[in-house]
Amino acid sequence: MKPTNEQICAWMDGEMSEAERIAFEREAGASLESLRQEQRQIGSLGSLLRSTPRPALENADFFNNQILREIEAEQAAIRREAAARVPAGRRLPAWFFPISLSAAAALALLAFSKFGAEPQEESGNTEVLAATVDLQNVSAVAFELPDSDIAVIWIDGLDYLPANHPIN
Amino acid sequence: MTEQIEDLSLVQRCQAGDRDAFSELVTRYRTRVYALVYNMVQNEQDAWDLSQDAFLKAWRSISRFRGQSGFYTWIYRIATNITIDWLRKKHIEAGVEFDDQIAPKADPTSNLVPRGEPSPSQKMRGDELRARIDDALSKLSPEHRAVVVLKEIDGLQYAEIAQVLDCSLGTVMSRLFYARKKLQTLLRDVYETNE
Repeated sequence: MKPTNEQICAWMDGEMSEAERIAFEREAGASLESLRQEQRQIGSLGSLLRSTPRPALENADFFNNQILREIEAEQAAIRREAAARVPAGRRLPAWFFPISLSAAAALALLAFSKFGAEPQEESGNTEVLAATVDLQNVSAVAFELPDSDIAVIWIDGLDYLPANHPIN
Repeated sequence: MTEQIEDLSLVQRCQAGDRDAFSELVTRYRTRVYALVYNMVQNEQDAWDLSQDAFLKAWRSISRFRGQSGFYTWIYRIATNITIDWLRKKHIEAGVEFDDQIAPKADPTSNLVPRGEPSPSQKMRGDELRARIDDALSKLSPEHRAVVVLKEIDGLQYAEIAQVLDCSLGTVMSRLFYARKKLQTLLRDVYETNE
């Protein structure tokens, strides 16, 4: 019985079991030698295809960064859509955030006074990393304590947390 | 197996939203995915874009990864599918049809004797060789190209190729058989010269 193309392929690649290989070679009969020659040619072809160097991915770190930025952008869009779908009645009142932030800042300053720390240094550059609203009436000041790990950012005039916007 | 376990751990972190874990997976497989895609499209920019698309698609569907196959098999499948779809769309837009007919048709059991004497020409330079290989691969249909690249260049086993291409073993073997026949016709002078 003439071997099928699939059988020939499997035999050439050594993908047959021992029993299958023996049966195949027995059935191939006089054609076995030409099949072996064909197998050698396939081997040469494979070597040729592998002989050229694997194409290098240049700027590999940039490759990762682009992907991560795209993911971040997609997730930010999802968050905005989700926020837009929240019914008005369920949204937090406008006074919530400034009062919350003020309270948080006050607590932080209280921590300073408790530990005897004084704000030592006002940072000249304060940048907020994420913003979703207009920041015209917003100001921010950062206080750092060089001798400790404590830093306070006092943000004034916010309705919600801004994103990606430098503040003077 | 250790690599698979580590991949699964990273995938689980990704499923919890850990983007650093995903970056680690990208780092592990970006070179291989890029090489796979490049060998199919033969263009650096297209390979870059399609590889990125593959990883982004993987991120979006990471919650559906169940670990039944290795992560690399999964990402390979995504990358291959995206590339095949892209190639098909590109060729449809160009009005080009793939011709998988092997010319001349050869009896697989016929006596194919290699030429006895080497070609008097010198061995091909790497860039010429690359160009000839790329040209030959471009003449295969996307599906045949994929199976040749996965088998001959990436060294995957039949079962792995079947998983990547989501087809039967018989289909893998059939496509590989015809793809090799066509490449033999197109590249015989090259691999015989370079032996």
